[in-house]
Amino acid sequence: MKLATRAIVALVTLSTLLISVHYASVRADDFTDGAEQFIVSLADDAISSLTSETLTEKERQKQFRVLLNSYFDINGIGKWALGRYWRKTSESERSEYLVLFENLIVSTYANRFSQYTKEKLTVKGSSSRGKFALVKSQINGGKEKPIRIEWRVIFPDGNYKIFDIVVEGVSMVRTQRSEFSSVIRRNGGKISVLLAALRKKTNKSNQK
Amino acid sequence: MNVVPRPYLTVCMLLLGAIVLVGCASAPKNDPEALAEYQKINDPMEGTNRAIYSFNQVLDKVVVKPVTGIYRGLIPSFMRKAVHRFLQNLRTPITLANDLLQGEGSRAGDTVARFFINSTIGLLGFMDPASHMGFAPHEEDFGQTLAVWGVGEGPYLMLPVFGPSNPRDLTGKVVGFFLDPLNMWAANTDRNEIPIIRTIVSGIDARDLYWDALEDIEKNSIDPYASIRSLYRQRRNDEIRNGKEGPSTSLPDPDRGFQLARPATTK
Repeated sequence: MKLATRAIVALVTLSTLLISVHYASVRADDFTDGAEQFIVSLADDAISSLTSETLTEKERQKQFRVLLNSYFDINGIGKWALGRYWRKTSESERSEYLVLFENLIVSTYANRFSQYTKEKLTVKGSSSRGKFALVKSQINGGKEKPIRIEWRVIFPDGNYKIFDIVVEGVSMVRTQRSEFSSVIRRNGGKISVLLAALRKKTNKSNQK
Repeated sequence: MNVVPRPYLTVCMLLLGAIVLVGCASAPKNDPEALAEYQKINDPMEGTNRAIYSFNQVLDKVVVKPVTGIYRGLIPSFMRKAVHRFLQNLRTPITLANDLLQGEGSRAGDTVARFFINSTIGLLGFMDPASHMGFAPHEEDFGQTLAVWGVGEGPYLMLPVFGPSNPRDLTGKVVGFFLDPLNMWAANTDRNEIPIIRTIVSGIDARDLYWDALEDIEKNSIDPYASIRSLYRQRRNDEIRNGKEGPSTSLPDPDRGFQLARPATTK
């Protein structure tokens, strides 16, 4: 009698375990498949809105900003790039920083796309790790060795958002963070110096 | 018989001198977060390194960049690529030795196949028909082998002229230089100009290769020294892993230290 109960309990436990494992794997696949689709649609959108040769620099920046806001967790990236200094920053400094950070990304990356007209992005598969869907892809530059690009995608509020791009093993977000923290650290931990540098950088490129 | 070409010895001595002279900057003691950051940056000689970086910047502005600019202006892109391939083909023995030392059998096979194909029908390595036959190019060096064997990188170093490095990669570079068959032959037959010319041409080739990247950094970075330090480390780690994911491929945690996006609903 006792044995039978135990067997039944074990069986039930096992079956629910199996069901949940199965369920989890299905959901993980949905998650990563969706992320792949998301990257493909970003690539299509980027090609149609950024690579036209008739675009002026200003127009391209404007289009890029639209893409940036719809596909990237730009505020989350900005916060992460500030690292431990985020907590030491006042509310007004934070909001200025986030505006400046977005401007920096726009002025840094928008014009890179003017050169990428002939290259094609191919998605090569994906996996999930922690909060991330990692979408592997490559850009084939003609006969050259293809460039490896990994997209680190999160799913914060029912929408996919890109959190990081890793090109040939180099994380854009991590590089940005090490640069910012170096500026702050070398100026006595004061974020005001970083803000001043960002202001200067983004003004210069916006005036051109 | 002059085995060690004098300019290299001088550079090594200078470097050693600089390291010994400056010693280490003091680590922050009271703030555990600052200490963790300091250890992660792993650049105790940052002051000296930045001074050397400034020197390199001047050298670049006055000599290296103008020379490379002329090279880019005179030689069309497809020919510069051919020069790059030729230099890469010359590095075959070093890459092969390191493939083997790392136990990478199939990559060693690729290296051998590439060498025979490209040195013959690839016209001394100027062309790369091997790539089209499925033997993709890759490079290895002794710094990477040491890393695979578990040797840590050590503190970040900015070398005069040669740029970003660390004790592990510097050791690898020196070992690679002296074990290179072409350099050994040149040293044993008193043809010291060969390794010198090769180093200069390799330098111009590398500057040409990084031309756009360096323009980009100069234009967009607010601390180019820190950017290059981070880029160098990340690239090296990727090379060491041969582009694969490994235990050292850490992911950023979007939620750490502040309120941000909720974790993804799926696991």
